[in-house]
Amino acid sequence: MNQSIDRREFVKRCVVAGAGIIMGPTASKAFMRSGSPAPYELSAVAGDRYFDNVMKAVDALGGMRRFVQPGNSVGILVNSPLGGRAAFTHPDVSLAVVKMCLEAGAKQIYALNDISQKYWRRSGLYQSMKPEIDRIRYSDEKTEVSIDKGKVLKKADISTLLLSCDVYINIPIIKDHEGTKFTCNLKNMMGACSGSTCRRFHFGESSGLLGLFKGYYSNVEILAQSIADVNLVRQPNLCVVDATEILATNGPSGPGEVRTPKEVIASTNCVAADMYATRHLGLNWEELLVVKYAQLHGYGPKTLKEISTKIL
Amino acid sequence: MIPSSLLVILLSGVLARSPLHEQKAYLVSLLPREGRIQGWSRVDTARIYEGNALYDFIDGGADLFFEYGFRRALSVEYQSAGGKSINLEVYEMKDPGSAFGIYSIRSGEEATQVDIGQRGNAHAYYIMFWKGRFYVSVASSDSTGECRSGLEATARAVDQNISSKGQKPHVVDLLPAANLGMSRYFRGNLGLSSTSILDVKGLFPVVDGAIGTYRDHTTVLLRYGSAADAERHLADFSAYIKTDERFKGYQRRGQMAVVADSGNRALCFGHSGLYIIVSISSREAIAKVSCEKAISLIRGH
Repeated sequence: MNQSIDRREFVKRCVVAGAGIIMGPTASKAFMRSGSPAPYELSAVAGDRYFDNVMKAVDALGGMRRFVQPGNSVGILVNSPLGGRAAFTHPDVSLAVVKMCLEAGAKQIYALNDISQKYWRRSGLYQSMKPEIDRIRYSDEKTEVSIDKGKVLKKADISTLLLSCDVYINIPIIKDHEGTKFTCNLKNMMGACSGSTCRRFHFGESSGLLGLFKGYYSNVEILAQSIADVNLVRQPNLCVVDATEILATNGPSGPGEVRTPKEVIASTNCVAADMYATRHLGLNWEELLVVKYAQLHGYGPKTLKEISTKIL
Repeated sequence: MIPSSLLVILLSGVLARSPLHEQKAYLVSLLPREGRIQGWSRVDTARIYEGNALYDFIDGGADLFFEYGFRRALSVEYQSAGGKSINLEVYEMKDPGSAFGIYSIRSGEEATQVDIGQRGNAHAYYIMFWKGRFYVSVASSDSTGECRSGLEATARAVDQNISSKGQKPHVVDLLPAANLGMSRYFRGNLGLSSTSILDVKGLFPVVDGAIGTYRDHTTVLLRYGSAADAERHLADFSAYIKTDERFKGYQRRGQMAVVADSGNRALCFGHSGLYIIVSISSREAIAKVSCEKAISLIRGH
């Protein structure tokens, strides 16, 4: 577990978070606009040097200083729970983001989910970047938020730090998922939610036993809609997607077929990045419910033509 | 009055002999004996995940296991002197059908068959097999020779420790055997949809079913609780595809119906007893013949 934040800092953060919650939809709108200027921008860099390629991809969007101002607090959401090969974000990708944020003057980096030391140790850069890793703080404190525009998810227990940090960076891996067929930025948001909220994703807000009787077909639709709904709370200011080694079957935990596009994707919009990333699993984004529902909520592009893309 | 310390001891004794404890102990007994896998040693104690705790272990991957019927899972990591790792996972399922089902859905088409368990296959960096009510997955950190020999030794050791075998579900045996490639077994939508071959609206809930992959077509058998249920769901399915824009050219052909999907594949479907039968092929004639064949085979049973 990462170093805990100190009590004074945490109380201060809770006050900020509480104000956001009281503001409700207004706060959500502010979050939505903060990281998603139209047109949607995306860059992709392929090659073996994952750490360097993250820097190139973010630089292609204008550099980390575009997203992180000196003194900002940054929340990172890494798909880090350990699974088999290609089932979690490569730690070099996450470390590059951390390094760039600190160099841009970030005051504090917060992990929005619990990242174990074992995860970081899987990087060849672990020893050299131990000081930066030690600066990442974590709290499992959750805050209940209402999601007025949610279609099936009307409230969620979500990381308090996600609500209070100045800059939110999502760092998922692309992989197969047995329910949604695909997991990337949108799905990774579940990592910031409490276990009980995630359970509701499968059965809806009020379906309870009825949800169980309805069978999994309706549950997959509810899952996709819930994911689209929870992303209304806050969209990332920056997405850095790991498409270096990805699990193409038996996701999300594996083991399964591993593909190696060796690509890193950076984007200003979570839906744009997910739409682009589907190609690595041979999927058509138009057939993915989670993308469709996110588009219907209006926080992402409806076609690839709306995305300004740089392939380096 | 019984002193609290004595109560704790008494309770511990009761729990130690409880069926739950015995079931967990049996799961642990399936692990290779210490030193059995040369060059590899266990990193830490085995972890057992019971019921909903599976979400803590494989999170989003847990639903498929619950759909089949999950009891408990055991996970343990081994490490070589060179720092390579092997993760062994043993899943105890509700019955042998569940274990076969989860194996059949996860085994993949690019695998090499191996004589481990009742059926097993090997991939570049992992081996999976089923035996009795157990589904076993062994995965390594890479596909070097060191890891591959460790994988195989681990899988064979667990196979030897599982004493009883089980039967494949009956519905799988109803798939026409000629030229059958892979056969998969499902108990819900996640299992069926994981094959990405059939939009399932109107077909659920099923009791279970089988998917047979052949060179030029796929046949899906869906079993219902009664013939009336099967008939009703077939009517629902027909009504759905007549109105869904992704399907076109619906036609009745005697006891069957044919429709083309958005990928220009022909879907031929019919009903016999408890079953709905769907055959899918890029050629309508093949879909029709294979559907007829499956229907007559089921009638023969």
